[in-house]
Amino acid sequence: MENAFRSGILAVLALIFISSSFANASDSPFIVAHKRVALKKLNPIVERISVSIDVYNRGSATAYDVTLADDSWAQDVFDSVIGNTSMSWGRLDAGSLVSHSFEFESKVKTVYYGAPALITYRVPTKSGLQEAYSTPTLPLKILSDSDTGKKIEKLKRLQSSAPPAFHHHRNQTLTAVRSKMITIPYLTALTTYFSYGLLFVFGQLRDFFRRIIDLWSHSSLQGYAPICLGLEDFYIRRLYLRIQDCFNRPISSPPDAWFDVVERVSKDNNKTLQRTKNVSRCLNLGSYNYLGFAAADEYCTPRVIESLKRFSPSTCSSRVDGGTTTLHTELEERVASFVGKPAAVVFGMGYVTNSAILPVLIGKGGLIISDSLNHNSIVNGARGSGATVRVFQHNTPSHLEKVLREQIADGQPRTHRPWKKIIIVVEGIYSMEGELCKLPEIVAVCKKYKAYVYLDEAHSIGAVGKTGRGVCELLGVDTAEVDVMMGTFTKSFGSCGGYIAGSKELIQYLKYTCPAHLYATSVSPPAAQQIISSIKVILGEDGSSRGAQKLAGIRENSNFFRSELQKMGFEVLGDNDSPVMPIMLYNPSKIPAFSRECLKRNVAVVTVAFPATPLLLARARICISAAHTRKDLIKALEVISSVGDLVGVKYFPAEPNKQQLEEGRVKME
Amino acid sequence: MANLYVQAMQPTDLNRNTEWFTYPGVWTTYILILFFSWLVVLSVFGCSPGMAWTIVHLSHFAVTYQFFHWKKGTPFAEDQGVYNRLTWWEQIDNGKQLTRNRKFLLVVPVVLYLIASHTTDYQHPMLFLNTLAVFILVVAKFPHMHKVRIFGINADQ
Repeated sequence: MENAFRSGILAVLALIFISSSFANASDSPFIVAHKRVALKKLNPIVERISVSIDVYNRGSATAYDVTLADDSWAQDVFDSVIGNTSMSWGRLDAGSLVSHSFEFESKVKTVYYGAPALITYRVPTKSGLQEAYSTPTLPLKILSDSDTGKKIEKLKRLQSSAPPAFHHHRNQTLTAVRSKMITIPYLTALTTYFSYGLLFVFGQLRDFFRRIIDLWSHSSLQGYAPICLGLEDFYIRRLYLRIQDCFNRPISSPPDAWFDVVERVSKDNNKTLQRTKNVSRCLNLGSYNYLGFAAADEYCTPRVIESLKRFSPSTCSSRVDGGTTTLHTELEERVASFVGKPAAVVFGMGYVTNSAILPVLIGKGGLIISDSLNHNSIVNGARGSGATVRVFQHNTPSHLEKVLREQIADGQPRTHRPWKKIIIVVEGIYSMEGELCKLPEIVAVCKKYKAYVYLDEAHSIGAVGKTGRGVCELLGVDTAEVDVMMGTFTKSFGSCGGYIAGSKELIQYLKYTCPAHLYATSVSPPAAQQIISSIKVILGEDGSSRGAQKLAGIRENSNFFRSELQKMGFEVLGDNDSPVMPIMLYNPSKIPAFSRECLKRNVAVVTVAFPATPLLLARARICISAAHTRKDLIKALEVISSVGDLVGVKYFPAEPNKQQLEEGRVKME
Repeated sequence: MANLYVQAMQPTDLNRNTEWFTYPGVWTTYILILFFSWLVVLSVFGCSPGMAWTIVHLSHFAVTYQFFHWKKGTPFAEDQGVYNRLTWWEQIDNGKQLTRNRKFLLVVPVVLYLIASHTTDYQHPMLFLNTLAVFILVVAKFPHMHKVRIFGINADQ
């Protein structure tokens, strides 16, 4: 009896302890909503979409005036059949559940991407309306039998007329993003595996014979350990060196729209290459010259030369010693105002910005969740920080939420204590895919679970958005919602270096602790002046409209090029408005074929193979610039089309009907 | 066949050495390679079908043992050697046991064994060699053998 009494008291104490540790969550309502979208086929022709949203109050207090609004069904595309997209309830008690459902019929063939529904409610102890989001759903292909031509027109009208606005917490989705999964013809997948297998077998045979021959020869390095352990360099020696002439091509002029490529010859079957004196004038489809600042510019270059004379090419010291000039402070202010954040700090090298900042922001006991296709600098920084690193499936907010929930519930490895800090790292435009990040959904998920968002805008700053302010402007995300914004100056500004923008306290902290600021040499003054001048041109502060022309130019060029390539039957990844377009090649033998044939016709493309991309998804990556004229693009299209026919990379049929079907996959509001 | 498209989802496997195994079409390619090598052996050696299956089975054993269970590490240096102590079999699916891919790879040598034994009418010495091969392969793929090095064979210095 005494024991039971004591254990009873202990249980009560434990309960009080546990519930007090959840004090924050338990004295307010906590709304969780699950949205389920399903396709119902009434008969072979008619399909209905039935949506049901369950709203559940997981907290321990009552929520009042609960309203559910699901605005993601555009009236032009979806016909409401049963029910309403919005619903309200007077009160939702703690622990109770309400459901709402409605049905639609769609008029066009489309892929629906789940946008969250918004639930607002009142909490008596707080003044404003609280908001919660339903979990987004996965893509759902909705079929209909309406006429292809009419529906494409309808979709194009919708695409141009839908408002891109995204206000504070309202999650209206964007029409610019159109991401699709990589679609491989089955036969191509089989032959690609077979080709790699064959290359692998030949490499192993050659290694085997090399080892036998080396047994007979004397080595002067007896007793030393080998430099490369095991098969570490197998890929380089047996696969990469065979097609070495397609990579690392030297150029001898600034990387403008047209540039000079130095020709190389090899006398020993590509093991070594020698430069010749010949150059060929080629169309540049590989440089990250998004706004055309890479070559001499009428506004920037005179000012750069002037600062070169005034400040000398290098500051010869780190920022804290003697390397901060007036140019650096002006640059940091301009970058901060351009990006839309209170303060910014600038570093001399873009790669170093990521790999030196992440270890400072987070350490052991923290969690970094990064997209699976993040750049090597982020991977390096994350590895160097000592925090636990997890990845989520590329650009899939629902998987991010799943990983977050799992990790928060588990806690730190072994001790299971709560994480000290969670940072989600995503990129604005992924350089190998050309895809835009699904930023609104990801920010919504992060806000829900109180994780920090780190956005790497290396490719998107200056290149997308109406005024060039990057992916936040394009997708309508408030910059106050992204905690750390990082970018580089090498792509759109034609300079070198990287920046981090954030709140004043964050930047001040970084200036005290970041090794790249304390020990690395600061940005070279002419380079800083180039960035300042190019920002002035983009914003129109130089007194001309060249900035706006450039931004419009790159957008038109990218959209034109991408749609033409898709009409020809190529498989092109990436979203509309993104200046990076990879053309899928897949087969390892098509990589050198495509590259060399294009070079013969004076078009220089960059081909990317393993290990920068997954093994099978080799591609040729094209970067469009504002400096390309329409004539240049047409020439490039002709060359790529003829080379594509020769090499056999037109994986999709080139009929206009089928291509319009591909274009029909747009993200609907 | 040309109009058949498959979708490739981006996997979350960071290990570039093993992530290619999660894409569509791998299993079919594997089976097709085995089938075609049987045809090649049959046409080159002109032996009986059973003998050809035995040869295919034994060479499959040699090749898969060497590359799945003997060679350690990855063929490129970008991952800075984090997998240098793990064989390919231990690297797949991030070390998770009993996934679909592992079950498939376990079944293939067993099926080959059954075909080889059946077509040679269970005669010695082929039966003995085939049994030895499948025994070694199946034991090597057990979940309990994850990172086990018997008698220190193939262990690191």
